Amino acid sequence: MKKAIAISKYFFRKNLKDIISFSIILFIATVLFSSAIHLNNNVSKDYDSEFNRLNTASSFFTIPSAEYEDSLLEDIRNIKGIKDAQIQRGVMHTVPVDMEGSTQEQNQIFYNISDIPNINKREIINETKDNIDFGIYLSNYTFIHSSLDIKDKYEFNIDNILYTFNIKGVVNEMQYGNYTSSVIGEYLENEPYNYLLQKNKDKKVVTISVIGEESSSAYKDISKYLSSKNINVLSKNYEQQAKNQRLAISNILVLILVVFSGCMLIISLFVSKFKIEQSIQEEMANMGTLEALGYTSNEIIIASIFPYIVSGLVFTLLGIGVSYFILPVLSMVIEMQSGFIWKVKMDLLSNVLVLFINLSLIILFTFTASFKIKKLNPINAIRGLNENESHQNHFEIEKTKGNINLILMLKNFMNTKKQNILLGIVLFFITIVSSFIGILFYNINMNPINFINTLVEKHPSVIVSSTKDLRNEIKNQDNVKNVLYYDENATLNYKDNSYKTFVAENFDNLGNDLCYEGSNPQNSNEVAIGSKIKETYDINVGDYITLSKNGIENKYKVVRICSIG
Amino acid sequence: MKEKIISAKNLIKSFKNGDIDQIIINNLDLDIYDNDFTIIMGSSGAGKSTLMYCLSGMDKVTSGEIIFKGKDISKMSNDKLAIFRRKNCGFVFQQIYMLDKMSLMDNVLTSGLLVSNNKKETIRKAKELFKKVNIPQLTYKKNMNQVSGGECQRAGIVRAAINNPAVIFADEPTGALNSENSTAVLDVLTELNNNGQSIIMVTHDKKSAIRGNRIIYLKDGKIFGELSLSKYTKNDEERNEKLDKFLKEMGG
Repeated sequence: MKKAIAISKYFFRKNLKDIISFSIILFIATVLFSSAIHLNNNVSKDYDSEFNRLNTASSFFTIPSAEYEDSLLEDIRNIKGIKDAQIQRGVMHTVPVDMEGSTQEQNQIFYNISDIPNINKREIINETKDNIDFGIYLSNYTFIHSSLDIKDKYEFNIDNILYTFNIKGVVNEMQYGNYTSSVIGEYLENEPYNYLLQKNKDKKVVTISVIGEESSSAYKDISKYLSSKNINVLSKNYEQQAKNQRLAISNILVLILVVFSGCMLIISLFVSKFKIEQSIQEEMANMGTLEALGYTSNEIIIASIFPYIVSGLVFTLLGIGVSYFILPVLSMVIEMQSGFIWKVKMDLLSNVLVLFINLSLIILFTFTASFKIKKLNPINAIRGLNENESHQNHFEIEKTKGNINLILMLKNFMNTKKQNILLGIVLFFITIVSSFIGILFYNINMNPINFINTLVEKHPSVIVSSTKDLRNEIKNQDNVKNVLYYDENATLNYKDNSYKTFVAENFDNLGNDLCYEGSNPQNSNEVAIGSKIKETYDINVGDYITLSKNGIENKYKVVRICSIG
Repeated sequence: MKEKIISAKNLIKSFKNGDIDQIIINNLDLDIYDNDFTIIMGSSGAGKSTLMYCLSGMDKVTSGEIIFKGKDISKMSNDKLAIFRRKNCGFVFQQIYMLDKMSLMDNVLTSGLLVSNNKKETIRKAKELFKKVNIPQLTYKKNMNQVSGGECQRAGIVRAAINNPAVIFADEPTGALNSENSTAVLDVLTELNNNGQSIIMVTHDKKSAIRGNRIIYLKDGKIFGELSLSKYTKNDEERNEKLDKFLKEMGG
């Protein structure tokens, strides 16, 4: 082994250019791959850890305060699998919020920051030390996306009343995180909270938070219970669903990084394998000389692959190190999308995993490439005779018709089959990666509306919430193509479960690309259902289902299946 | 009584040429003695190099037995042969086959440090040998592309001799050299032999063959004739005449 390593510097010098290019690609691939592994191994785990640290509810339900009674809480506590339940009072409003330059109507629940819950704990992560009156602590998500800073004013106008609060700090909590549950919490000091409460008595809500053994079944049981009590649930969510939605971007990032890095690594390994095989072919005389001198084939193999292993080790470690500079950027992306603050930390296990995978692949590829050294006969090698080489005369000039240049081209093509196959593989992977980058770039940067429309229904240019019917006034305005009345706050019950319901005057105007079977409801007794409901209850287009609300039942014909909910 | 270093019995070496077995060495017996400068001669295709490489373990025989320093190398695996060669054989090739991107000294140490763990001692030995073959430090620090053919080949001899092998096998060592360099290389080999080094050399050239004290002439894979000479001295007319007569008898 020692002797093999001693002559490896010869192979290092011989193949320096190839080793350098291999190392550079390996480095870039490792940066991406290491980032992916760290995300994959830590984000979900840290999410759970943070979730538990703040004793976050496994499910929560926000209902109008008027419909709440203490007996509800007692009944919920008695449901099987429920370990603890508590309530928190707040004020729920649809608030116009300045989000990165555009104003959006967002559902917010204002809680009293002095009301310190046992479930759904929160922590202040950024706070001014100045004495500020009428303070508000914004959720981290709202703060990140707004163009506001600490000590700025947080203002909004509702029913001709201008509410102005001074941003005193930022809160980290895991209950809402982002708008997964279509509502987010903000936290007022005592005085502004009471002021808001006084002005909006009809907007008082109660959030029931529950710790259960299994979040999904607790969620279903409580939903069923509230539905049986005909209680209007304004907002609800449960742990697993929230986590899947909040970490969707993180999962996509992992996938993109793994695919990119995997493609790069595979390409560089194939190219290196090819180069090693070529090098053995070209250096056969030297291989024969080494065997003549008394080096065994194993020693020569180890010597030839050792430079790749060493540079693989060095550049993998470098790549892992550099990934720790990339991870904070990815952490910011995750935080912006999910509201979850993921702190990057040293993860030895992930580092070791990346190192192990990289080195294993390098050893595998380089060893298989060098293995033909074992078959070398020293004397034939010295003489440049390759016993394993095909001696077939492709496209014999004498017998092949056509232009001599074409024949020579075809001959060359057949004599370099391996090279051409490798070129094909490399081009294939590069095409996939380039196409993916191009399409992603176009759809996210240049024309993001396509991307948005892929995930949600057609995005309107303007959304107006109003108590008056403004359709005719808006329709007659210049530059208005389409006006649609759309209500996404309704709920209906099916088989004792409450489901979010979208109501529109004409779904054809929605341009809803998320529906994949059937046609939009046209008549008053028709309904489109989500794919999850279809799977749960085995409902198909053409079936009839009974939906109810507040004790009133109606039969509807299922005319369409959509891919949401 | 001279000590036998290599004893080959009933050697057959053949190659497959399509469906036909082409016999190169045809049931040959040969003993090589210590301290001899053995020359293997013959016409082109007679099997000279093939015989030499079989005797050194570089090539495997089709059948027969080769006992080299008491070990039967005809049955060894490739890896065992490689280990055997590093300690017992030195090679000087016609095309020299120095590893490029390495200095002449590094080429020698590539062979020397394969056997010895004492780097200092090996370097000292290499320097001594370079001095003997008249290659100064400035030259042996250069790569093979920066030196003359003669210097390179002399370095090849240093590489072959560094481990004090039982036998140095030289395959047409002057084949690619001009007259002056050829003489210089042959002088080195002669001196090594005078100091006790056993040498087997393949050549078709009379000027090289005269250096040997034992000439073996191959024809059709068999030993056609053998000549014993005294140790080489310059301008020994009697030796030259004896060799001329022998080669004439052999038809060479």
